[in-house]
Amino acid sequence: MENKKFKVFMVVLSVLVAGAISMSAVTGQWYIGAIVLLIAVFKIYQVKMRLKTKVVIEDEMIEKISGKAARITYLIFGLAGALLVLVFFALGQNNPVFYIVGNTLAFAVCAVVAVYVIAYVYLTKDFRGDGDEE
Amino acid sequence: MKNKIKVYRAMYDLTQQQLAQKLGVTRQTVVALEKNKYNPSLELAFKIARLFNVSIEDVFTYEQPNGN
Repeated sequence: MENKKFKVFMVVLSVLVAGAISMSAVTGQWYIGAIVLLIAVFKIYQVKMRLKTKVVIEDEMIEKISGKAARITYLIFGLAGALLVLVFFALGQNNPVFYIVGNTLAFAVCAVVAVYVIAYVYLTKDFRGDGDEE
Repeated sequence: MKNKIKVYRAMYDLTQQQLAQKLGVTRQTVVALEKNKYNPSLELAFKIARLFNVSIEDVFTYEQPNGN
């Protein structure tokens, strides 16, 4: 039952954060989204810590599935983003707005790839070595 | 990989939720294990075998993809 409550809590919180960020984007008041996001992160941490002693929320299977989902998301975002950047750059020759959007997207894709590489190198640091073979 | 978790769980008269709690995993993981949809880590496999007081080979059977 606690697991179901946690899932509902996460869905409600996601909707609230998405709403707050959308509102801050529309109104131009960035701090609303930032504050709500920080409160949401703190709340998730608090609830997870409280539930940790009662029930198992995450285990190895969920971690494995999350890893796969993250990898698929990274691949889709990376490939689709790179293709869209090319399209926006092509359209940007006639309209500079597309060029700006393409530029922003290019930086976003590069940032995601950079974070992925850093995370990958960090997570595989214990598995590297010269080996003992000649 | 196939397993007899469902059989051992019945022998020990445990519900999926109770088994999940004893193993420190979610009930979904127990369901996936019993349906042979998920291969557990070596650590979890040892936990399962120890819980039922049997060896890993008694619970899990490795089958090569080509059926040999």
